[in-house]
Amino acid sequence: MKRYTIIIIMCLASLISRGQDETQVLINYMPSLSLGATADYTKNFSPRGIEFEVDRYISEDLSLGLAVGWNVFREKVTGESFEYNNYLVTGTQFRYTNIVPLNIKAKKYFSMGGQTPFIGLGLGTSYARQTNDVGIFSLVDSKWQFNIAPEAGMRISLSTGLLVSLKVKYSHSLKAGNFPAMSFLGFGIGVGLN
Amino acid sequence: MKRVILLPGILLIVMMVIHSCSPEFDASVDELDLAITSYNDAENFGDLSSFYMPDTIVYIDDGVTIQREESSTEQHILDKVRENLLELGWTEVSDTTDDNITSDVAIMISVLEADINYYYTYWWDYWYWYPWDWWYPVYPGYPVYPIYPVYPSYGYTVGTLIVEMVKTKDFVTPPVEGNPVFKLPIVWTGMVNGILSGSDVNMQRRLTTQIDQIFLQSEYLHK
Repeated sequence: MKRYTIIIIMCLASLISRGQDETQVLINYMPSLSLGATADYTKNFSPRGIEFEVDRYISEDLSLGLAVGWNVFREKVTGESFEYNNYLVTGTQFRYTNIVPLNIKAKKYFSMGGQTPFIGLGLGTSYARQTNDVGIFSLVDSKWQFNIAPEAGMRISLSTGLLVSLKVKYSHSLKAGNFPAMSFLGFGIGVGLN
Repeated sequence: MKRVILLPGILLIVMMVIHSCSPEFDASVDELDLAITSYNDAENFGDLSSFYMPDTIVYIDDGVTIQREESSTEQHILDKVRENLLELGWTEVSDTTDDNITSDVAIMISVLEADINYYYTYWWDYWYWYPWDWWYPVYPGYPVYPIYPVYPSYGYTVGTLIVEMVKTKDFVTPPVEGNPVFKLPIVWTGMVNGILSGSDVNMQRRLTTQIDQIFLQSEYLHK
């Protein structure tokens, strides 16, 4: 619990200590739907996702920023066999996929009063880790991948300094070696300070 | 003032999300059972049709061969392996001797047992003991001092049933004991792995499921 508290304090410190009015800091809760090879391994709509982003306006309708997220997918698979080192293994599989995208992103805003639709594009890297707990064994594979993440959404200014963000984000990490491409569709709802 | 109201809300959301990002499934003992098989893909199993199976199982506990009294579970294992082979169309040969091997393959069955133990020491709990809390440096490589709270260890015994099919068709003379060059021609291996827990009845039920599975997933053994 204490380590969680540290992370929370760090997040809040960032929120409170933002210095410029042209900077926005948001925390998005991001349930996600796994797609493609990610869904082949862990097919589910996962409520486990978070994203932290900082955007700095470089003009009235354009911002550059950073975003780091964490999405977790899991699936319990029964009755399936898989090959591992020339062995055919059958057992209940508990599969987990953890994806941590780390992106630089640009956003274009279309101001409409208090509601501001936007589109954005994130480029960067993503750490993906797949774990298959089967029997008493745990088979783990991980990779850093190139990540691209277009998104679209709307920011709503509720009052001075307070923001609510709604967005849809598609995250796609390219295949790296034998590690498959990772992709998911995230549905973010966030709060932040302006 | 609004920010003062907002911050607890953000705190609550972040806490919920971070907590939910560390999910683990709960697995029953049955769900930890595995059926594992491998085979020599250069072997033509169509040429093999008869088997000989000794009526004993070799037990190896933490690397040491041990003697066990005959039990209902041992007989259950032997019966299930024999039953599966016969159902697949194999013929059992019972007149094989050391000097006269008359079957195409011999079935060797062994059981391995290993104890696995875990010990936990949570270094972060050490923080609660001092007023400087947040400032106390913690290094992962630190040795574990007696003052650190050590949590009770836990462990379990893992059992692996190994069923090996040795091709005896091409050699009638058994290997000389201790010959380091001789290698048994094992053409198929089936393994059942799981945690040894529960009553004999429950263990036999789990064994039945997994022994059936190792033959089910080895279609090349079908006659």
